[in-house]
Amino acid sequence: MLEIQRLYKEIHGRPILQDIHFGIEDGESLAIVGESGSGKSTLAQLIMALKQPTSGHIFFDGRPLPSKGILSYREWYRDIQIVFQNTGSTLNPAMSLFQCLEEPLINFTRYNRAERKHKVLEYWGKVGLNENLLRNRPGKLSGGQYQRACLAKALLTRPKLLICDEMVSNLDVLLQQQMIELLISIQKEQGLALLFITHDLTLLPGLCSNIMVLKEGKQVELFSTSALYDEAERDPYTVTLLNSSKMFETAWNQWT
Amino acid sequence: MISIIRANKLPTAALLYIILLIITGLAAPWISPYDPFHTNHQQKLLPPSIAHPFGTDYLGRDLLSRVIHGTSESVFPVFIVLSVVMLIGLLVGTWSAFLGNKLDMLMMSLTDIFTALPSMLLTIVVVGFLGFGMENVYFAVILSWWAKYVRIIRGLIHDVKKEPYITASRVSGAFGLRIITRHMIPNIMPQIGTMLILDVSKVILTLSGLSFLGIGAQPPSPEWGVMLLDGKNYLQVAPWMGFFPGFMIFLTAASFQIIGERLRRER
Repeated sequence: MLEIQRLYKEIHGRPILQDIHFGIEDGESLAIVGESGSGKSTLAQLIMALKQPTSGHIFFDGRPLPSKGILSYREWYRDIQIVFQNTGSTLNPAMSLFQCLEEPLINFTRYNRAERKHKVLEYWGKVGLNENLLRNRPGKLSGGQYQRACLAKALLTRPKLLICDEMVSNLDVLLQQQMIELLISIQKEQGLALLFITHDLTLLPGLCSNIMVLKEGKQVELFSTSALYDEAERDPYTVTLLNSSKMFETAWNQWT
Repeated sequence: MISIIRANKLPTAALLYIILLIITGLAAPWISPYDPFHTNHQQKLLPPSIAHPFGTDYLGRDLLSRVIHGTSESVFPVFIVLSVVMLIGLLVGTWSAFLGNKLDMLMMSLTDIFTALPSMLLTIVVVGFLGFGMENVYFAVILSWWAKYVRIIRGLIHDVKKEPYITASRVSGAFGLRIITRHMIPNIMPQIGTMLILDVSKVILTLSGLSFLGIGAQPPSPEWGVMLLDGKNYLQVAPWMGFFPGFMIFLTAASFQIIGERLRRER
């Protein structure tokens, strides 16, 4: 479904991504893992056509990445949606939450007002938010609620692929777990393909079937999640990443 | 509601005054006690009394009626001038910032030229070319003010453009004009609104100042600046002739300023 071939991206002559190639099939879920500055977010922006690659190709269902023409962009975004990192400003602060969520429906569908309201309420409930909140401005939401609202907005047009760029990174551990569970249930229900970008390997089991590790813009390895703890087979860098998240766990256990 | 008013006594008073002023201006033909242009030589230069609360001028015209009628000539044009200036600012400023690159550079150089010219001088030169009269003054004032609004709006849009919600709105299928009208302009409106209200008093002072200099409204217009000019010649004989229009200009400009300052503190 999503096909990435020999993707390169340079910014001001500095290579950010080098020779990236992978694919995602219908309903599959892939995690992209790497530390800060490894090019994960740039990759997400390239797939979302928010930036253009220096060279290489991105195809979705055989269509190439749009570079001009509103129609081709619209078509692209109807199939691929993204939930950005929680920065608390991806929803327009001058609109009510209902208007924010209505936006993709207005642009992508021909629903009338009543149908749009029905859809928004359906997804608002699906991500576990209270209907009364819809009248508020985005600024009134807590961090966890905000990400749920963004998730609902991304899912409203029933995309085939959802990209989650560090979606849970700013949330506390309990909320992270809730969000992951929510994602798993929605993915099962809608048969959605998922590209989950994170720096935290421990979040992935149960959510993603495959993992790709990025280091300094290069693809280190791509493997099945079931082989994550198989240290003999893993690249030393993957093991370091895994151990660093384990270290917190050990430190925590010593404290308690 | 009452607690808000109690905490903002002065701005509330200013707001009430402005509402009253606008109603007075609109209802002028019905509420003014006399015809503002009717001269009566038996009653010239009368001091304020019950029959003539603001007194009469050197032609015996009732000053209160003239001040009331003057509202529509002194205050309302300000709104029109500022609306035109803001419209130009929004159109040119947003497109300039939105498209960026060469057009943006060209526009900014052009506005640089206009902001560099002293606005009073530019106004006088324009009126010198086009002739006296209120319409020419409005045009001249617009000409000397539009560049400031284009620059400020362009700057605001330029900042808003980098906000994550603008990127996010693209992904939600909003492009071009839709991004501008639905996502950018609503987010800069609070700043522009405050700026507009603060500028109302400046434009009032400019317009009545130009009339006072004799290049704006012409007698027998009851424009406050013109009345002030009339009053200047009779300052020692009939000080009320200059006092009332002058005081109205002061009160109106101050009220808009007070409200503007209050709004600015809000943010």
